[in-house]
Amino acid sequence: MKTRLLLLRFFACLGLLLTAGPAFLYLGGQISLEFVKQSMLIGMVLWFGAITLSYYLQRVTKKMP
Amino acid sequence: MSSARDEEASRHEEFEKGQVPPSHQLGSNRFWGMYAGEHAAGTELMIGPLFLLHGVGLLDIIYGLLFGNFLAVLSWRYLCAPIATQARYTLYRHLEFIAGSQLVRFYNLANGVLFCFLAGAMITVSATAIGIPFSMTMPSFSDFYPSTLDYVLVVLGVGLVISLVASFGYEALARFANVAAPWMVLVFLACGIIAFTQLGVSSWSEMQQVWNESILVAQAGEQNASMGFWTVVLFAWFCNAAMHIGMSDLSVFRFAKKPSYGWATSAGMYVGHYMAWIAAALMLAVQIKHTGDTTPLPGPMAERVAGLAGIMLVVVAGWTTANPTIYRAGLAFQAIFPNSSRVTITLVAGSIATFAGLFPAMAFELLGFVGLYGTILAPMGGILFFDWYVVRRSQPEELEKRSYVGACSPAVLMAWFVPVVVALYFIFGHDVTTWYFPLPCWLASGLLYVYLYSFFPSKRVAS
Repeated sequence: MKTRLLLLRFFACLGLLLTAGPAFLYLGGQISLEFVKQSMLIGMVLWFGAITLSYYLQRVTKKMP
Repeated sequence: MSSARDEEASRHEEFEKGQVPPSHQLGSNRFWGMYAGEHAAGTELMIGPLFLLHGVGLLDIIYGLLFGNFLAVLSWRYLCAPIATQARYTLYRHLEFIAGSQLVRFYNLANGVLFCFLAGAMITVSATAIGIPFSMTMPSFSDFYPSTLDYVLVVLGVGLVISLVASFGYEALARFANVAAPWMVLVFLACGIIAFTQLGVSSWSEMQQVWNESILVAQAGEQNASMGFWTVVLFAWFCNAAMHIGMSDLSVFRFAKKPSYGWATSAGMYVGHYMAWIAAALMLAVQIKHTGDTTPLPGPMAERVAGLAGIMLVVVAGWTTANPTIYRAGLAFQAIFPNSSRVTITLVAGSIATFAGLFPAMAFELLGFVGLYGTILAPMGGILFFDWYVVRRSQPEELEKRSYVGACSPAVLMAWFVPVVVALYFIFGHDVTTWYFPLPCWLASGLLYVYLYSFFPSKRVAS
């Protein structure tokens, strides 16, 4: 349970990193705008997905006898 | 605007009529997180671009917002938080002691109506993003009335969904808003960086040149700054006037252990009202540079710099602002009609907001509207402030000992109405900018209240 939660938190943080990180690389001219847009999209899915799953996991665990 | 605080309220006991006991007071981390998320909202996507359209210089924005936001933080820290942590009542309960129950109901009505208009602007913001996949004809900056049928249909659809969610599934959305807050802050930051990069500038002078060219395009060849440094300062200070000098956030800070938690508002001011406003303004500058289009439509602007994630930002930011606003408007109306069901009254509030959202001018005139909002509501905070320090001498027990027993205190009524009516005369009769009025009205109301209170304290109060 703890490992799953930790893993989900890792993915949530990765989501945030993918959301904002590539913009800095774009500022430095190292990647294209299309890459940044795709990365922000993946970051969004990861963040909301991981947080939703972690809420669900915590709720299910609380209901366990 | 403030979904976090509502979740906070649902998680803890509300203490609507009583003081918050020490066992239910919260640590400072909650306040830092709450304010950072609360002020990265849908309104920020409109306000930043409007600075550019008003021809504000880049330095005036950077320094004006820095200073104005600092004054706002000081107002929360030294005007609102000390009273909240001593009295520990909600604004409405505190006002009931001073003003009488009927006058508080009237204040609620004013609050509810203004909330509906604010939510209406957010419905417009969301509609500009939802309408993109439907190839909706976007409203132009000069539009006051809705100009196309597809725009009307999208606004009605968005308004219906937001109203239904506010009526039935509000708590789930409040939780979603909390989850979305860190993501929204980072998308704002990313959008700002991408927009800055797309401007293609390599020095400060180039940046200023691009900015000035954008203003020239936006103002059709002229460069008339209708806002300067001090108006930006005043706007940044008073765009949340109802919350700090208007004492609306007594309801939040009554849960704080210490008044120093008022500094937590700096997270909201410098993330939402500084970084996000400048990011949104840069997004419009990019749009003007690439297309020459000066209409500040959040959906298309965000899509240009961040693609689908940008559209999602506008939708999420708009909805997480509009939903709690409609919910609060419903609560305010319910105080006036206590026997009506919350679902029905929230749907009524949602309908008013949706109707307001049909008018694009509601969103395009947001700068003036938030000033008006502060001018009408903040003076009540002035009355409360002077009452607390002059009449009650900072003694919470004095509120109950000498509370107003009638329906409507004439001292409070006159002290609130007279300065506000004078201000409204200048705003609507002489077209004076709204942001000049919250502070003078606040001071005038407070002083007038102290003067009027001295005439009838013994007759109008119960011991």
